[in-house]
Parts: sequence; structure tokens; C-alpha cells
Amino acid sequence: MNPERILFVDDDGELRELIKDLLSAHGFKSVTTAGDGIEALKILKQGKTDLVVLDVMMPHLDGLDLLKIIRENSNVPVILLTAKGEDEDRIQGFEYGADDYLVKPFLTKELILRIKAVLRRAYPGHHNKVLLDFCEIRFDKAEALKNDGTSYNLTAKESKILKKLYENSGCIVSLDALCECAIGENTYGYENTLMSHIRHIREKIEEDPSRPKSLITVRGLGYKLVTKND
Amino acid sequence: MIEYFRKNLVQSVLLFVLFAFFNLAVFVGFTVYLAWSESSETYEERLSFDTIEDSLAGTGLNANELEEELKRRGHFYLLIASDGSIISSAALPEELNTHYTLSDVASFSRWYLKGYPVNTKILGSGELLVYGFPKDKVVKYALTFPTTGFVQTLIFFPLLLVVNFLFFLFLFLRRQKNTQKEVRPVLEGIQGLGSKDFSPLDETGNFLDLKRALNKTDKILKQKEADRRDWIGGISHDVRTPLSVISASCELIKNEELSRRIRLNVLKIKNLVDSLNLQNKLNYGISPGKTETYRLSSVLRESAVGFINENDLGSCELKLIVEPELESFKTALDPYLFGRLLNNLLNNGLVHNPDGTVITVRLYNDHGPVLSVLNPIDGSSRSGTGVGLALVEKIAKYHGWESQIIRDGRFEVRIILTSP
Repeated sequence: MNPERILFVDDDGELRELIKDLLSAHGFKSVTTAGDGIEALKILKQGKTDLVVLDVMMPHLDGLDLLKIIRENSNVPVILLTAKGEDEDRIQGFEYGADDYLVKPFLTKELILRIKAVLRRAYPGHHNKVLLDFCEIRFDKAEALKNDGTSYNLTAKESKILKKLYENSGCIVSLDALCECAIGENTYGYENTLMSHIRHIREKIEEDPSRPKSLITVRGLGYKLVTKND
Repeated sequence: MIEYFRKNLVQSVLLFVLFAFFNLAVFVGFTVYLAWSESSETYEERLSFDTIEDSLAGTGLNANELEEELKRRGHFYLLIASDGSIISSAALPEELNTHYTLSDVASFSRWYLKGYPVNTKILGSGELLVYGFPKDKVVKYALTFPTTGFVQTLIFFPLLLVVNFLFFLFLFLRRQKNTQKEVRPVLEGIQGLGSKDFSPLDETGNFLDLKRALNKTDKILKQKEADRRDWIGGISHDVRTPLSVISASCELIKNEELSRRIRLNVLKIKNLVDSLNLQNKLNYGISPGKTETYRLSSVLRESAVGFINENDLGSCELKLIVEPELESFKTALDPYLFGRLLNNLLNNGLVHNPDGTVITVRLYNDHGPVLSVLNPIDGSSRSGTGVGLALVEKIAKYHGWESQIIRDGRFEVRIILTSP
């Protein structure tokens, strides 16, 4: 169960109901909905929201104006959900303080993954422990505790790579994004070193590193971390 | 712009040379005209000193003939002895029939004899032969220069010409630089018209009308672009929201096959709307992003990963192969447009092929880097408006790349990439 409270704001009643049901079905125990910006503002003033999924085009008070008001006194993470998919619209959304941006129509799976990723980034304290098939990762202690009780220390680079994968768990993270997270820019030629890090991580988190179940290779593209929460 | 100013400079130098030649031609022409004009005839038709000397020696014209000739021309001559008395003369005006002192001789040999212009010659016997012209027909002007000054003057004139030319060049280049300075913001304004890079031109100085017109045009273009975006946003909203409802509803359908079929159709419509939006934008000549140099393999992987993460591939598979030698290949591209190009090609494969299809994306070398997206089955003729592929072609063209479609039972799109 995900304890975080989600507020879904969209003027389409049918979509509101569907998303509320689907988020609940995917483990979000508290999902509230609002049909316009004014109603959303009333709910937000009660201060019981951990993340807002906000439609941009709404009557009365549109999503961007609402986001502007929210950002005046709150850092609650906001994912903009919109029919406008052009670069300028995305940039404008981020300029207003959005944490992520999803263009309609979207896959429910993608919405859920993004909600989880934003929550992980916004509340890192809640996500220090990650449950995998054969181990538990404790980012605060930089260690991997295998189910058989063996504990392994994670190096700084291994922690960085795992964290990046965890922030995007369930999604593929490209080789280049992982290299960049490990060493910054100019990642060309770092792939072999990255593979070596991945091999060491697998030795620490997998039951059988040669047949990985949690840290999956997507050939030619990158890697994917599968957690028990996914 | 630099080309224009270079051309302008060459033209101006040519103009200067032409101008110099024109002046020279006018000067020569005027001189020739003067030489042939009526007033110059008086001087040109003069009898030579030899003719007069021959006559005096009795070997040429006789005295009457000589006088006749001189009178016809309005000329005269006189021969003065060393004591100042006139030995002989012909057609001599009455006022000149007198005795001449040394100072008279000194004066008229340089200037005029009582207003008559005269030429003089000292004969071997010491007499002075004077040949005269009518008053006001010939100008005599004597100049005296120091020798060094005269030589310097001869050097000075060509030097003056060179200095003139250099001064002209300096003034011209300075003027040109100033003009460039004033024209540059106007040109940059024209290039950035309608884009967010355009900053309103300062409506002062030269080209005021042009600057005002550009500022006004930019406002109109921006308003048009805003209207277009609002219109597209409205249409998109009206299409995309119901699609979101359909897509979310698929989650509730237990029949996996039916659910996937609906999702693929949602994807088709979504892709169509996206393509129409972008095509509309490119048709307006609006660059959606910025072209910069990127490592292509990295952008390719990011775009492919984005596609997989955002779409439900079902049992289809995406295989990405980058030849090791092209891992470091860099090219200028707009990553957003490149993402759309790959997205359209992959969508095409996903929608037009059966479950279990492996779509192969390859970056390989064939006399230059080539990006290939290969579907094992050519199913694209079944349906589709071709908007997606038309957009692929447009995006390739935008980057200066060439796109090829190969149908041999399979369906392959190749993008021939040029080196930066």
C-alpha cells in the first residue's frame, strides 16, 4: 500500500472516476478528486495532500494558474496532465513549478510509474528502504541486505546507480542516463565501467547474478530495476 | 550580409576607378575641344618662324605674299635690331610701329606687347624676330618653379591621387562599418521574426520605418502562433481527453487481446494528432526546438527508451543495434524532432505488425552513417493516412538528411545522415 495522498484534478468526471479507481487498485489508499481549480484549492488548503495530478485546461481557474497559486506557499509535488504536448507548453509547465509532465492520452501504467517516481524524489526519507526479490536496499546506510541475512556495503557509485534505477523503477533507464548519473557529462567510453558496476551490484542484490531478476538488462538500451512495490 | 558588403566594396572601388577615368576623359576631351575650337585656330594657324625667316632671306614667300598670309590670319611680325629699332615688319598695328628699349623687349618676350600676345625668336645675327597675334585671342602665362619644387610637384600629383584613393577607402569602410552596425540588428530581427529569439528593435536611428514594420510584423506573427497553439490545444484537448478515458477503461477489460487492440487504436489516434500538430508547426516554418550537436547513439537510445516506457509494446520487441564505430558519431539535430521521427517509425511498426514482431533499429555505416528502422512485415498498406511517414520525411529534410523507404516484403525506412 502507498500511504501518500493523491489529489487528481480534471474537469472530465468520467476520467476522474476511472483514475481514482485505478490508482486505488494500484495501491494508493487515499485518492481525492476535484473537477476544477477552485475546488482543488479548497482541498489543498486542508493540507492533506502529498501529490497533485493536475489537468491544465480547465474552466474557471486553469491548471497553470492554480499551480502558480500552489507554488506561492507550498512545495507539494505536481504532475501536469495535459492535452498540450508541445515543447513550449512543457517548458512553461516546468517554469511554473511542475515536477513532471504527462501528455494525454496516457497509459495508466505510465501515470502510476511517474507518480511513484515523483514521490520518491519528493520524499526520499519515505523511500530509504527498497524491497527487491532477494534483498532489501537501505539507501540511508548504503547497504544491501540479502534475504539470507548477508549484508553488503554499496560503494558511492553503486548507490548512485541504484538510486537512479529506483527513482525510475519499472521503467528502462538508458545506458547514457546511468553513465551520466555516475560520472556527470562526457559519458562516452564509460559503458564498460558501468557494466562492471552493474555486475558488482548484481552480486550484492541478486540470488543468482548470472540470471538477474531485479536488475534486468534491456539489450542495447539500458537497465530496469524491478521492485516488489512495482 | 558580409557577402553583400564585400560586393559593395568591390563595386565602390570600381566606381572610384571609373570616376577617375571619366574625369581624365573629360579633361582630355575638353583640351582637344579647345584645340579645335574657333578661338584656338588663331594660334594653331600661325606661320612658323622658319617661314618668316625664309621670306626675309628671299628663299620663301615674297614680302607681299607674306603680308597677305599674315593679314588673312590677323597676325603680324616685326624684326627688331639690337638697338631697338624695327628693321622690317608686316601687318604691324600702327601703335606698335615704334622704337623698343631693352625693358620693353624683356617685358613682351614674357608677357604681352601693348596687349598683343607675341612669340619671339633671336636670330643668328642678333636681331629679335617677334610674331604677334590679335589682342584677346591667345593667353600667355609664364610659371616659374624652383627645380626641386617642380620635381616634387610631379611626384605630388600621383601621390595625391593615391592618398585620395586611400582616404576614400577609409571613409567608405568606416561608413560601411557603421551601416553594418545599424543593419545587423535589423537582419537579426528579420531572421528571428515570430520566434522567441526576437527582441523588439529599438525604434531610433536609421531604418526607422523598417524597424517599426518588423516590430509590428513580429507582434502579428506571435499573435498568429498563439492563436494556432490555442486552436490546436483546444482540438487536442477535445480529442485527447476522451482518448484518456478510453485508455484508462482498457485497464478494466479482462480480455487482454481486446484491451490491447483498443490501446493500439488509441495510440494510432494519439500519434495522428501529434503528427498533425507537428506538421502544422513545420508548415508554418516554426522550428520547434534548437539544433545542436549531439552524440547520435545517446539520443537514439534515450528516444527508444522513452518510446518503450511510454507505450505498451505487448509482445512486440524493440532491438537496437549501434555499430561500435558509430558510438562516438556526432551530428547536429533537434532532439525533440529526432524523438518524433523515431516515435513515428516505431509506432508505425507497432500498429501495422502482428504480436511478437521484432522491430530492429540499426545505426550502421554504409559510405556514411545510416539509421534504419526495419519491420519484418510490410503491413503499412493495410491502413493509415501516411501522415506519420510524411512527417518522418519532413523531419529528415529539416535536418538535411535523406529518407528512403524500402519495401521488399519487409518494410524499412532508412535515414541517410550527413556528418556535421
